[in-house]
Amino acid sequence: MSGPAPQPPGFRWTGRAYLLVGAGALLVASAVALRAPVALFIALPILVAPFAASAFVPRPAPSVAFSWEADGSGQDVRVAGTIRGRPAGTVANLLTRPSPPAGAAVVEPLRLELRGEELRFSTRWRLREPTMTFAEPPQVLWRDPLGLAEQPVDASAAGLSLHRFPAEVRRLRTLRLDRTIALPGETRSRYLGRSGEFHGIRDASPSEPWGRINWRASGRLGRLVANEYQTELTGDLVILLDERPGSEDRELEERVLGLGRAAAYGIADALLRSKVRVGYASFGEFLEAVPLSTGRGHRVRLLDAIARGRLASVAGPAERCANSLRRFFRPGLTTLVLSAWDGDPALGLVPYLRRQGFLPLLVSPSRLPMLERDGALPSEEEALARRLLRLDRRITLAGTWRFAPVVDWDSYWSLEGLVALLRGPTHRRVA
Amino acid sequence: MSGPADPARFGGSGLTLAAFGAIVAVFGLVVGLPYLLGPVVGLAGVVASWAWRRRRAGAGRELGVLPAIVALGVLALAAPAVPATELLGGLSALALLLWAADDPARPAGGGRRAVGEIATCGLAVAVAWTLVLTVPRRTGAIDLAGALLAALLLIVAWLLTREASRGTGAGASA
Repeated sequence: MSGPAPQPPGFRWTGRAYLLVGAGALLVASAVALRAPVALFIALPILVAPFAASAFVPRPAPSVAFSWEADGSGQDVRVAGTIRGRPAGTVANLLTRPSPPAGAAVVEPLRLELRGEELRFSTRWRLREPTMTFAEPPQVLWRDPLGLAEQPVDASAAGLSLHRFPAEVRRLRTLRLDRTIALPGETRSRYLGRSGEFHGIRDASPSEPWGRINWRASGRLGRLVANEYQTELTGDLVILLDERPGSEDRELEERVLGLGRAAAYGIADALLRSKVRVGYASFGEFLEAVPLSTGRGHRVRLLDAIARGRLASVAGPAERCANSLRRFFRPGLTTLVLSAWDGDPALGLVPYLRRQGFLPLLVSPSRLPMLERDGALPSEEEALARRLLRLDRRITLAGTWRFAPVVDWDSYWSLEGLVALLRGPTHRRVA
Repeated sequence: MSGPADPARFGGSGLTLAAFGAIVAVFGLVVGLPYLLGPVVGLAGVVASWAWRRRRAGAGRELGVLPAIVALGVLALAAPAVPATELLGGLSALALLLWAADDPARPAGGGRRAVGEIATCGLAVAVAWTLVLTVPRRTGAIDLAGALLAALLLIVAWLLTREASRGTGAGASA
């Protein structure tokens, strides 16, 4: 049922070709106007070259195998790849320019190395902050040796995933979150069940074994409830990533989202290792959720869901997010909200989540360290302006403390604030 | 798995630059400007182009040929209309193309690979120069040559555009 493969567009002239044609035409005009035939002889090859280059463009376009990978640790990203082309000899005329994703800067320009029928390239990028982002596959071009005509080549390359996490997420692995019951009233019993100590009661599932049904509690409540035992269960946590754009600057928002994704996956991965049940939800215009679960399979599911997230073009209302979250998760769950919203606290996600019965905990990545110096102000005034902006942000975030604890995340390579908060006696006990 | 490294190193060979500079210097000499101004102008253009290409990256690099073309244009307008200067003018332009092909940002051997294209341009120069030698100069010949050149280029451009759009089903920019 699949249609024919899309054909790459035909050849085109480069800027240099247009420059040569323009210069050649000018020389011809000057030669005629000033009666200087020598200029015609200079104009002739300059004018003919772009057309000659067009005649040498390979038809059909060469087939290319492109592969690349990223290496390195911390801020350092080493990108290397190979291009193989057919027919033989075309590879020397192939070009590629991998461009770094938002939040990464080139520290070493692209290096090309021709080895037989293989073109190897390498470059180095530097990540400004932890991120979980995606480098788009670069375009591969066939370009004639004179650099006058080029033709895009279908390389069918995959993108490159870049994952870098703050170092403190490792410390979260040692954190053991407590778990309470879904229904109010924590109960302790000296009797040990099949899977450990009695933990609480919960609504029975249709396939619940009869032995697990708590008949007394069912009679009291008027519906079937089952016993739950403290097995390897620890806490439950929902991570909510805010994918709504907070400003007009698309690149900045991509970086903020990349940072949020890195935090979301880093935290989820660390907590899954300590057998916490982790759920994930992302909210842009609408909510998408991965239900609570644990285990290796769930880690892959989360990674996939987090990596799939993209910056929303339209910001959905916060109330929609809270209402939708109720459909996937029960109230009372601790919800770690990763949101860079720093406007009116009453319009953020946190108050609405609170109203729906969730226990939010806000980690707010600050945009201030990402703002580049534009040189409009002297350095002293720039520093003062940054201090004022930081104070303003602190005042704004202070308003959120009415609804939930807040971690102001402005030192990106550290998540110490969150770790300290979760290690505190109040927040170890999550729903 | 991988073949041996290409013996021609990256970075562009200095040979093409030397050849380009030498031809432009000779062309500047025969132009006959006083105080060796011809070679100075020509070499200044070559050096400026070389420096431009060395310093710039990306799209700006494409414009590296501009200073050399300007210098060649200045020399051409001042040159006497004799077969020697006309031949040297054509050779200078061909040397410019050869140097442009030997781009350090691209795999080595660009000059070698561009032989076909440069030969096509050289053929055009050779035909034009042969005509200069065989056909007597007349008043208005340069107008005729200019008009013929323009008409020929327009026809070739139209043919190439048609072929490109037929080959891909979309309009190409050539």
